[in-house]
Amino acid sequence: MSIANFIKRSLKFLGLFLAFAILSLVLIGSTFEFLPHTKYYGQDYEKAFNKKDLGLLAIGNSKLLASLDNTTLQKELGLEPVNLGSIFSNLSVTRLTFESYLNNCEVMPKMVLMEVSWFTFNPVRTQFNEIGGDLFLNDYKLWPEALNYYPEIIDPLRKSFMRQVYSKVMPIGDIDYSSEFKDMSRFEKTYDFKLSEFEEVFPDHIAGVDPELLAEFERIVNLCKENNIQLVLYTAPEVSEYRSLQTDIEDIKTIFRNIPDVPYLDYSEGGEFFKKDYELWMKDSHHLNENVRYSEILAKDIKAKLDL
Amino acid sequence: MLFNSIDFAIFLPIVFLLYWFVTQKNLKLQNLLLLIASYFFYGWWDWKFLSLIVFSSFVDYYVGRGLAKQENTKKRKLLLLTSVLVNLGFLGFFKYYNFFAENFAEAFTLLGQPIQASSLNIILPVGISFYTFQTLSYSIDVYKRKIEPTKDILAFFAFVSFFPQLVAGPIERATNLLPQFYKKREFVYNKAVDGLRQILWGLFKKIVIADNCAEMANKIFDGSADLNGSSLLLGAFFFAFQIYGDFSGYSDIAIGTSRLFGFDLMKNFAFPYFSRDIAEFWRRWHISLSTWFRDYLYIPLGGSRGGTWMKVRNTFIIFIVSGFWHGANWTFIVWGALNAIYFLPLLLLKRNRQNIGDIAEGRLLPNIREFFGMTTTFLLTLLAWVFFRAENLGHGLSYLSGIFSMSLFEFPDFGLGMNAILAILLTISFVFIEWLGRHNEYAIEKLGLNWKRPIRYAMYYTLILIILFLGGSQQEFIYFQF
Repeated sequence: MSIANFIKRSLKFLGLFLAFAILSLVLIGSTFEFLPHTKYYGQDYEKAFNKKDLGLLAIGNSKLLASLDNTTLQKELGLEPVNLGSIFSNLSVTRLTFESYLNNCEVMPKMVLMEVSWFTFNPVRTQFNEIGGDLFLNDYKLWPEALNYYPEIIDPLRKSFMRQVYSKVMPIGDIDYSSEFKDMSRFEKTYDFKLSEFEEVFPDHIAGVDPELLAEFERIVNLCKENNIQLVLYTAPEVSEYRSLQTDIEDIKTIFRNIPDVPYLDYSEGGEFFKKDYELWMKDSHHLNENVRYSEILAKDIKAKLDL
Repeated sequence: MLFNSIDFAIFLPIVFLLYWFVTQKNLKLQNLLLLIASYFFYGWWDWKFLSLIVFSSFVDYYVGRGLAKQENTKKRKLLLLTSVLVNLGFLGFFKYYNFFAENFAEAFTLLGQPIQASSLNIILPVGISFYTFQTLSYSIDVYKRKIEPTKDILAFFAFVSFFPQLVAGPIERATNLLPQFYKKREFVYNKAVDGLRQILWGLFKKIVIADNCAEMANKIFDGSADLNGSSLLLGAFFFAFQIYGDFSGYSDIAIGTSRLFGFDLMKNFAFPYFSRDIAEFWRRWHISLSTWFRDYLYIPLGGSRGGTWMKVRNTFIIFIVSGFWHGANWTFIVWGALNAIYFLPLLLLKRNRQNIGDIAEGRLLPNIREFFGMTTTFLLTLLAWVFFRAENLGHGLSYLSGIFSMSLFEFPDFGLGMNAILAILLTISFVFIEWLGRHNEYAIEKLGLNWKRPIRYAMYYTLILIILFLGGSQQEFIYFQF
């Protein structure tokens, strides 16, 4: 048989497969739901993309995820909040989360609360994580951007797809981000800071500013401006040992401090809102465990800052 | 460029179409296309290191030309020495400089004369151990008059840098591969289809078996200090299949890709974990490297001829050098030495060639003796792999002492989650398919050939779906670091 036949048959083989793949994606996309997960609050994502008139969107990575309590925020700020943080997520995922919400909402949120810190622009400590796959399966309007995130999008997309398939066969248990820490004391120090683990990620103690992540950050700021949404940045508490190793922290904080009309509340050492007591509220070097009391403080500080 | 990347999935069809539709009428043009494609393939990783391949190719081409004109033995030796020094010089500098500098300094410190090791921040060029050995074999074969030195510089450069096997083998001999660049390649439908099937199986081995096992092996080896014996044994098991899936998967993709272009590469793996003794294992594992060392090191040293001492010496040399080839770390040397210790009794008792044919020939299952031999050999290789994977000798030793403790009989405590169970189930299924296909070139070579097309397609689609959805997180091929 000739090479033409070979190509014809190969194309036929691939065409059939592609048709099957696209059909599966459409099928999964049409029945998609955000599922419970230990890396984020699945119920908050589900709420965000179904209830389309939320007042407060909290976006960021695990530091945000760990630091906020929705009930307290709602009580103090009078806005209905969702916590859309996820472990390891980078600014691309954060921006996509925000943009996807804006694509689908009916009423613009009044406020976006975003946690930013020393490693916000670091492409190793933060990554295109699994929730990124969920966002693409949930919102077809994001697909034109998919190639911008190749190849890191492949793994999250695959995992999200698989979880959707699994969940149709086997229900996923009652889990969320907080379930792993529910037995830890919330008001005393129970962790050890491990320098070796820190240096695995930051060998030179420099987090740096990745230009692509910085561009994503600027897009978030602009989206807020364009849609008349109040953006509030904050840095959640961190322990002194961790903070003292951040060689280039001032360069990074300068970025957050210099955005017009965007308040920046800094609760880490050296920051305007720092308190030593926060070290007892942590579950590790940079994640809060006591999120209720902290959310109360944060909400009051926001109100004061914005004259609400 | 990685075989398991979208980049390669785009690159391969483009080169394939240009090769068969644009350049097929002119052999030189076809070789030129392969050369450009190969340099592009390599340069995708880091174009700066292309200069090493080009330089190495130049040296060996002109050494070959020089050898063709030279009859004087001393001058011939000098020419060969030039090739050896250039190739091994590159390899030594990029791969072993820091190892020797650090160990030299340590040795002086032990002797009471502490000196400062001046280690350099050297990047190891991908595939350097492979292409230097390939081009070196050409010079040696020309020197030994086993092949005629080539006058076709284009064919020679394309031979040295042939992209399917450039970065991780099989390490081809000039006697096998170079002549294929001289003659017109014909498109053979069945060969191309077979090539695609072998690529598919290679991707399955790499993405499904190796990458899933890698996640478990990394977890267990990284946290080995806190784990019980049964977990550690499982860790070694996962690593054994990670390295096999990874490396033999790469070889399958390389061989399959070559077949798409009308080339035949040598077989690199022949179901090594079904070996009945260590000698058979080494005839089936990384065949292109084992035979390279056999032909260019072991036999020139005297091989298995001579007295017992000579046999012991040569065996240790070849295994230790083979270990050292894999990396500049004492762990690889111990891995090589362990294999020499396993191999020696067979050699000295002249039982190293007792298992030549396939296991369970003409039967579905092995007999008790074969089964016992196969299990023992697998366990021995498993223990040796511990050193291959360990960070350093101390890690390897503590890992082994952890295995040989009472906790070996406890339930694994490394967090045997869904991923571990999935990796185990996939590996068991993989071993089953490999067993059924053990008499073939690769496991699925003949699987389903007589089935109706829809059923055969369904099998291939199932494999693709498993690759897409049950594959582990993308990892680089292990052998890239060698």
